Amino acid sequence: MVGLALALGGLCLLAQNSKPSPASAREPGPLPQLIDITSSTRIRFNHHASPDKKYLVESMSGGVALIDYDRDGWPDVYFTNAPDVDMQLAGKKARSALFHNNRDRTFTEVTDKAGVAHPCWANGAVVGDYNNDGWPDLLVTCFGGVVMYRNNGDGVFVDVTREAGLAGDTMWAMGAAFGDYDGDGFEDLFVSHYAAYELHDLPAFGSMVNCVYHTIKVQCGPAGLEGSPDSLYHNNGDGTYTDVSKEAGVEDTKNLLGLTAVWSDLDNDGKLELFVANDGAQNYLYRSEGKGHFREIGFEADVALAENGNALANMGVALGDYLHNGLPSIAITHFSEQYLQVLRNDGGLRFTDVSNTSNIARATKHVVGWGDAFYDFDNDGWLDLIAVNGHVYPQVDEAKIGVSYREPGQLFLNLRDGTFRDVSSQVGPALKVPRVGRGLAIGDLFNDGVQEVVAENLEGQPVIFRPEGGARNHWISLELAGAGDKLALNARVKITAGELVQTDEVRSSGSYLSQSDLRLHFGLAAHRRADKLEIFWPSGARETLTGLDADHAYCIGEGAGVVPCGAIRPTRILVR
Amino acid sequence: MAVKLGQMAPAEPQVLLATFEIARQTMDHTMLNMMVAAPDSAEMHMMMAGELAREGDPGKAVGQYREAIRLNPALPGVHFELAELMRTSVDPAMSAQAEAEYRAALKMNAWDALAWRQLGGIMNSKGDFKAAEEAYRKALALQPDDAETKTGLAIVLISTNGTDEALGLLESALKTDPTNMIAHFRLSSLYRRAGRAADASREMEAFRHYQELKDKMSKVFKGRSALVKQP
Repeated sequence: MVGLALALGGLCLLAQNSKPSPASAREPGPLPQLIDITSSTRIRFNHHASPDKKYLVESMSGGVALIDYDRDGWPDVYFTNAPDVDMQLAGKKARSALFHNNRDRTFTEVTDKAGVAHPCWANGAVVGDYNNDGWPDLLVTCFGGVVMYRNNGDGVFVDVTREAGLAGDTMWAMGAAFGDYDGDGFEDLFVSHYAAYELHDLPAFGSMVNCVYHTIKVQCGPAGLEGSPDSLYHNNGDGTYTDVSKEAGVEDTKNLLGLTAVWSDLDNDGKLELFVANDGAQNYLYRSEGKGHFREIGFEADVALAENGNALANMGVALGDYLHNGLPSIAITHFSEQYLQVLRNDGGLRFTDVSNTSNIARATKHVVGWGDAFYDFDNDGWLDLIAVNGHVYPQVDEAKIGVSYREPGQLFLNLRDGTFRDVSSQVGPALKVPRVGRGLAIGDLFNDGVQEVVAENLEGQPVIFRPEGGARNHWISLELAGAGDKLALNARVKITAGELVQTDEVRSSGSYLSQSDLRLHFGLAAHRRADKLEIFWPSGARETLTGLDADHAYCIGEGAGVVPCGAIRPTRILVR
Repeated sequence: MAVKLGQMAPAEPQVLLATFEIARQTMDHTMLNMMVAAPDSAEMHMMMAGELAREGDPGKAVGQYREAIRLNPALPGVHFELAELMRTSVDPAMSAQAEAEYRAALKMNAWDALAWRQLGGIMNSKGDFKAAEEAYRKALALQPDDAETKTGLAIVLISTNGTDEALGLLESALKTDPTNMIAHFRLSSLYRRAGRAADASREMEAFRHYQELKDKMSKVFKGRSALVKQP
């Protein structure tokens, strides 16, 4: 039985205890094995890759987006692709690809029908609903701006970049994130830009000091390259955007090398913060000051630099309440000789670098990390952490310096006391296969309560991992629809099942150049039902549901509680 | 002579340049003398190892250090130098051996404060905070004014909730070495958490000041290297 209590205008405050809730030390039990199921899904895709990676721009692409573009409740998959410099200069393109979920554990490529094969030199892809029609749209970040694909609802996407007012963005875009920062019900868009880079005037391979890695000649940069400013586009509510970067104070006057950007309510005050990871420089954390203006507080919040004041090569960004303290902490992947940085959210927009004390730093010191996610792979109700790795320079293989171009992925088990254990070698051989990893997205592809990992590699085929075996834990999945923003971006959920109290948030973007499933998924361990579900809608409304049976996917409309999924999804348009 | 010159005019660029040249020429001469006098000695292998490490060939450098140790296991400084090379290696297998070499250095000379300090850093990065604290405290007992040791110990104490002592250590470290960026950065964070906003802001300003200086220096040196490397 589902109870419903609705309290409009409630202050959206979750618990702000910075310490993990008491939990028994984790007993080592049989872990699920991550099985490579790529071939059985019939997904066939190859990311283009030049053999030598003579230029930095050839090493950066490889995003993956899970997008339920036909709103049938089954996530579909989009992979970006990019040419190399010679191809681009010759006018040749690389083909991105969209795969439709057949609901039988296989996919069918629908790229051409959907019209999303050649958006641009495609880096990443994120999902939003720019015109708030309930059909998720696709925003592709490009070497040379962005491409906004409007989802027509009939299986076809239309490039509306120009009509949407985004054609003026011509810089090297990497990260992007939709989020309704001003609460008007329409999703605004932030785009982070990387280096100011001109294909006709590229620094020659190995020619300068910033083109040498441990005496090996390699591509030049990113050190020594000038960055580009970032852009915030305000949604006008009529299908167009206006650049408000300067008025909002998020234009990045330092011209840092922007990578992943994520909107999140990091302090549970009902207002969105914006986190921007910058490569080789300080991260930005923008706090809303109201009236459409933000203040950068990265240093004050202790998220700008590493714990010893070093600027890191900040790349992928994962957010998750791995401590059960009601707050999303941040995990950022980095270059080798650095470490995967875990920033514990202490509340009040204060963070502590716990990479070392959480046992993550030393396990990640020797890899180049990209896509990452907090990911409850065993449905025990505690977020584990996964990352894919892969070096930038193919030349390291020949140099015999103990570093490899292809690197294995890593999985860290949450020990429920603020620490993790590296279990990469205990979850089967698939994750350990060396790859040139880049994007990573998480989602329950087959709607069976098990979340898959979809990772795009810079070279060759993507890989899909599925956890199999281990304890048969319960789960619950939530598809939310707001009264304003129909995708309910940044709606937050607090779920209680027995002693387990978890929180999560619907987010656009994250990881590296990627988009995970917008549905929220919670592992419930042995609990057969969620006792209580509290939803903090972006509108400010707060809604409480009780007694939801486990092992179900629920659709929830703002103010309406659990509803048939058809009630919150747009009607499919068969002929347009 | 170079040392004397440096002491006589520590801020005079021409003297500093002359000192630099003398030191470099002395190094070259000494190496040649060593090659003639004792080409198969442990000292020669240690010297060659240092040169190979500077040239960016850590694999061969390690080989030379190992040969030096084989010839003279008690050669002063050899384990420490080898440990330093290993600690900074990109090769996980090599860097994992650094701890053993620091311990070997300490077995030969338990009064080696620098080796204790570096061992403290290694143990901290391994998450063994108790061992890290012990190593740093031994280093501090041997060199009570060493700012880097104080900072290292403070970092360990911050991880183990010993923030009060950490704060004192960082303040003390900065009295000895006001340019210690890490100490400024960490102290700023501790002050902020203690609600001392003005102190936090001052330390952050100092950190940024030295960070800018470091960036400028870095650009100068990178530019110089780039010019040298250009064909």
